[in-house]
Amino acid sequence: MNTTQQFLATAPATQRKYNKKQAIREFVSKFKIQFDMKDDAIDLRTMANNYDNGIIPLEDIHRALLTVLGPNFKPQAFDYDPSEGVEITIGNGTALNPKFAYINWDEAYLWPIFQRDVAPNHSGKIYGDFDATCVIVPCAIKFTIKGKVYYCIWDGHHTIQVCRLKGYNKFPVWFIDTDIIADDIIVKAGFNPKTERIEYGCWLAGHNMIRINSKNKRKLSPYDEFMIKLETRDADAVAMMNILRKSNCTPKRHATMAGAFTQIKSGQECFELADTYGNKGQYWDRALNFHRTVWPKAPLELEVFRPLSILYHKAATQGLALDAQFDKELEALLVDTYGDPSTVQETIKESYWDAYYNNKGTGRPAEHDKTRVVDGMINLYNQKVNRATLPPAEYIWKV
Amino acid sequence: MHLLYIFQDPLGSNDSKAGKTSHPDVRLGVYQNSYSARSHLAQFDYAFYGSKKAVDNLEKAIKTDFDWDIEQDGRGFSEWIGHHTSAQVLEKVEDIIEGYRSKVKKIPEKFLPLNINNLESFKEWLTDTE
Repeated sequence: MNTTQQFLATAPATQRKYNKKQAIREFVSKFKIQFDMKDDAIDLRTMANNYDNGIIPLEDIHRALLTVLGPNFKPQAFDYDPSEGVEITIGNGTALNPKFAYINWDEAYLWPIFQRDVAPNHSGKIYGDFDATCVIVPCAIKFTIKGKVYYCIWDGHHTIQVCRLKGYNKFPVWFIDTDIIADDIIVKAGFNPKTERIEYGCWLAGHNMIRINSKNKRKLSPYDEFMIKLETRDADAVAMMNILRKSNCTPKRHATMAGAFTQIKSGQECFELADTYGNKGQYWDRALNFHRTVWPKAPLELEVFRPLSILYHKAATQGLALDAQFDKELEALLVDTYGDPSTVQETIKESYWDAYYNNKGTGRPAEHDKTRVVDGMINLYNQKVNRATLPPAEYIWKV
Repeated sequence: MHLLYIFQDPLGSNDSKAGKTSHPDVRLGVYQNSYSARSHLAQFDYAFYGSKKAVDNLEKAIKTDFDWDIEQDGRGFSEWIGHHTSAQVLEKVEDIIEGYRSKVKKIPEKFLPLNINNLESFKEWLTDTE
């Protein structure tokens, strides 16, 4: 019995219908430090705090995956050693594929029927950032045509070209050898093993190329990218984190806690707003401080901290000093008029659309929500307080 | 009228429900459907009123805050907060309202618990007050 079977066998028996939330809760309760487990992400950074050195055994992540996937997900729970090659699919299984090899450059080919065009600028980009320690092994399919061997790359073409530019004379490939695939496997895929072995190889390579680069590609989320940059001491990420910490904000994938910062890209945009000397971050810093002071239990609301950052930046650029009293006035205005931060921005936007569709406003209509809320805040302040001089709203309406 | 209501399980557990409604009479009727009024008159132990948006956003914040205490998702389950009396839920909801500065008001004590018998007088009071 392998670990998956053991886990499934020892999982608590219950007569009740499976409930994902309870299963997750039970799993997480075994850990001293609790962490989020959702369909789109298990919070491994927090989970890691339960382990010495912050290094998690893959088996524990495997169990977490099984918990979230639930009992309807049937893993292949048998011992399987692929180190000598694996059967490509269910068949008689004489083909031990794929294999690893170092090949010569004159054995490396590209068959455009299952590869995308090559991008010189992408190759140049990889070249500029090249590091021999991060070369991922290109994937290939091996054909023999009229006695000549061809290793045709179906993934990692740019990488292998950059290796060539870097002077490699041997190239690592992870390849499927079509010559040794059993006939019945080719038949099962709908090809004639006697006359269409190469066509079968092309189909397999093309299919895999789409699988890897499109169908099953999981794009790196802005949150993960930010957290990795932070760990690797990227200057902007570290500066952003310092600003977030000042206001007791935490980068999170989901807005599940007070001060949770989830809109990473937009946060970066706000951070980039610089003063005339090029100093970044001060307007975002002030906006976050405002948000956390006014709504201490709420997660950060994008369409509140972003318009505020823009407003502070615009005012400074135009030489308009917005003093601390302005923040007090704006706080009272927003809280008395709308209350919580979601209601603030949602109602301002509704008010904008009402003015826009009913021709109640003047000036240039905004093209983006962030500008709508900036204009809404300016208009509201001018209509209700009108003490400090604010930058002019581009679209004026009665909020 | 938009309400955020809280009531405790009338069958005796320390679980409570927090939900929202724009038609409290209909909602109370739905709950009353499951048992006789002789056994228990459906009621909201506590309730808050405000704009639709304010109530919607407050409900979202409550669900986020209670998170694991809402033990099951799905119709009929997702509003039940486990191991919290309605008074305990109220305490937390008041914290949330304060921390989010939600623009809602608590229904006065004289209308609590709110049920089908005093709902009309609450509505009249609300019309006169607001």
